[in-house]
Amino acid sequence: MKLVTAFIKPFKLDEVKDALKAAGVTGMTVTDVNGFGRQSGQTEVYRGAEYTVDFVPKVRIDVVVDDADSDSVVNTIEAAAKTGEIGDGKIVVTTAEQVVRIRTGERGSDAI
Amino acid sequence: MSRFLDMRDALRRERVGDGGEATCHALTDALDDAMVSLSAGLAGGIAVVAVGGYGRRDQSLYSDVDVMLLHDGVPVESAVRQVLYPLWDAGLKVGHSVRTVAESLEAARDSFETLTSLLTTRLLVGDPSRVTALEEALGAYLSGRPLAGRLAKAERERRDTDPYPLMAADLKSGRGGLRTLQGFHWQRRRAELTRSNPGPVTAEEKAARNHLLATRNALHAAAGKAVDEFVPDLREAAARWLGKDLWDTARDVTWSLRVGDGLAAERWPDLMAEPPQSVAARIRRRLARSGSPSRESRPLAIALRAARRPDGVRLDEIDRERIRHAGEHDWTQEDVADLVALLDSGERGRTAFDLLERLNWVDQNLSEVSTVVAAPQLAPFHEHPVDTHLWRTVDEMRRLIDGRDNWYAPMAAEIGDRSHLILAAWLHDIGKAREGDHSIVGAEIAAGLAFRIGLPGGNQLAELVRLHLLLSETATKRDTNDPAVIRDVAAQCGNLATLQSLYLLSVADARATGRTMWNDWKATLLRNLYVRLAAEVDPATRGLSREERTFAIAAASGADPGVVGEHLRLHDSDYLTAHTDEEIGAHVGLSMTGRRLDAVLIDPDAPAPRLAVVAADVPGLLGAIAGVLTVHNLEILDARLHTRTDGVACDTLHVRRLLPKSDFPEVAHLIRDLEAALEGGLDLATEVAAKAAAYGGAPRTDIVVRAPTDPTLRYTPIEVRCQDRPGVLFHIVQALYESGLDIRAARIDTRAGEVRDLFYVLRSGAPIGDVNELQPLIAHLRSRLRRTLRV
Repeated sequence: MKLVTAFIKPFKLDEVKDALKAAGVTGMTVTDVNGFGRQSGQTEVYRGAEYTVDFVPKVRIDVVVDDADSDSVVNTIEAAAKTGEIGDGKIVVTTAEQVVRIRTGERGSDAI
Repeated sequence: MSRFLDMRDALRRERVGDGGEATCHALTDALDDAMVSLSAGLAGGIAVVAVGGYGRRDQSLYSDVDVMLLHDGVPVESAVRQVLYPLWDAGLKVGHSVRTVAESLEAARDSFETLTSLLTTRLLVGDPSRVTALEEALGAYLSGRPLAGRLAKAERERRDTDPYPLMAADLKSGRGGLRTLQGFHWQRRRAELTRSNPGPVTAEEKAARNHLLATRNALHAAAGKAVDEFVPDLREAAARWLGKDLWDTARDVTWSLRVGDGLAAERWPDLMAEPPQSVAARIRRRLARSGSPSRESRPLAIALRAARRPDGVRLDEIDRERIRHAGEHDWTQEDVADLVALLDSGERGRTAFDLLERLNWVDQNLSEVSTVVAAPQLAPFHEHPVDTHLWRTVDEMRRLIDGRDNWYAPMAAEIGDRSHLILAAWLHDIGKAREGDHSIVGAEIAAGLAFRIGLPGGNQLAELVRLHLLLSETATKRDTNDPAVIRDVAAQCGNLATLQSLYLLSVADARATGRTMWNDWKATLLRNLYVRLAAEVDPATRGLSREERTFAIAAASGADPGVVGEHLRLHDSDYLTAHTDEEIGAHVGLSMTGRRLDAVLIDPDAPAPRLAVVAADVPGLLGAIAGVLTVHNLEILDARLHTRTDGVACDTLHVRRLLPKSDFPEVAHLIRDLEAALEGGLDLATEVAAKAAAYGGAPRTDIVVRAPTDPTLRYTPIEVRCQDRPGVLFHIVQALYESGLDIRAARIDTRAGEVRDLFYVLRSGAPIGDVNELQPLIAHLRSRLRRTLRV
């Protein structure tokens, strides 16, 4: 199993969520996060004062999938989250050793 | 016990009656049977008595079993084993006590909770004379001891915990809940026990109590345990148990809690009373005296006066009658002003407005508002019913307007129309609890209301209601890096004032919605969006970047851009916004002379020229400047003081001659005296005191010294306000200096004879983040300044 973690622009959340649902993903966790990559924050000027937002607001999505579904889920997120502009975000895939559905005690793929 | 447990299981599956009193009574009866059966053959001298909720027959599905063994001194161990052990063995939570009548009275004296639990005793088994004796003893104890004050205090504590009514309210212990309603019951029981008139139970109180009991039972049934909070997870199941629609269930809850809240405000007005010696109470007493209460009969004026009463928000019977019989009336400008003042009065205004609601005045005269009163909001992120959310949004808006930050408060000041912002906050969700898009519906209602009662700026108000979600939705749902999106949203806003009003409204709305709706993440998104929109709506709001300013200053002053850039690099960004290009150019020029202290006049021919000073920042510098200017008959109107990271102070002071016909002193003389003062060759304290004496007496108004505690600030801000007089800045600065404070920056402001100075200070190189250190320091400063200025 894989844990797919995506960091995307906040306004892309609905699009990514709908695309993942259409792709058969039944559950996900969404978190408001702040961070920076190559974008290195943003500087704005207001009334002559410059202020730098070091950590840009992003949305983090976590999805656990079967190994076989990992690539298609990554592709789905990539396609839905892409604007082609700087700051589109990242997708990270890690191995999930175990998944447990707490209510039933199911484990592994059955718990996804 | 098994029959009781079976009965409880059956009731969990299916309620009796509407799930309220009828279910509680069925459960109580089953428990009574079990207790009688357990108590069979109990030794003489012991009575089994139901107390608390069980005594009132309010037993809910999983509530505690409150029982007392009332005895006359006989051994009770076997009775405890016989009666109480089986309750614990059955897994029940038992609130138990074993006492004689005398011990019960002693416990009631010690604990208000025990006293109230003993107010409703019900004999289950044993000799009735013991209960009678207890009631007589309690009656004697309570005679001359009214409960209202203690009950008001308890309600105040509930309100402190929940300043605004919640959707996920604790139906038992939350504000306006069963505990509040029980308070009225206890007052009636006290009246019965002291043989006075208990008064009737109103139909509304009875209905509210029944709704809350029913919903409490439903929550217990849904959870299978004693859960008293109307939490989102259990609402659907609770509504199913009650056989009602979810919205109706929630509406009954919010209405019932509102009844509890309203009755508490009516019957225990002490809960809004202020300590007699508090500043707020003194001000309210003065305001209350300044009106003409006996002649004023307009309901809003009466409510406003009630909100300002220091002895609690209360209406006299004559005022109640006036409001009751006011009927529908034509609105006047005074009414509108009083409505805004009521909205702008926080919890007291809200409480007074609730009183108007309870007397049907709101229904008759603000029917647009009555639809949202206690209207529930079921989405989990909404913490409050609609009208509570509106009032809280008003409060959040007031905090933004009156705040001390450098972001929202100046924006509100720029908009300049406080009542417009307050009304927008109050009306933004007025379209809720109706069919259709609440923004569109709300805008129509706001426009109609504004026209009907004569609210100022009705069209703009309606526009703010229509667009109140625009910024929040754009920030989270649209690509704010896309210029087309910014152009589109900016076009909808139209102008800077509307954009700023919408921005403040978005922030106040989000803060008032609940904890999950406002955080740094959301704040950053909204702020970035606002800045981009502001630049689109009014390009002048952007101003110049640091690099652009550097070249502009260099061009204006003739200095090398590299030198200007280095000068600015040594300052923080506040310096750049606080000083003009001309002033910064003067600082750059002075800093290049190589002198330890130098100064120059900007606009020397103006009635109030500016003095630019650059000097090595040594302790006492600001005091010396203030003192020397006073000695030279100059008054400081405002000043901006900043120190570079390399220790060079760069100040700009707006000065005016105290004697208008006199010549302005030579700058060279000022510099010479400043140097002398810094080297100890000039006794400024004596010279300044002589000037102050020559110009008049001591300030008549008090001195205000304030300092917010915020551990995140780089410097500790200390604000000083007092009446102006020659030398006052010198004395303030001396006081700060002698208190071991290092002034890193300051804004000096004198307006209409009042000094409003803000100093950013460090102590031992660090800000003072601990309130325990700050408070004594503030007290010391205030006391020292009072002494020095002889207030």
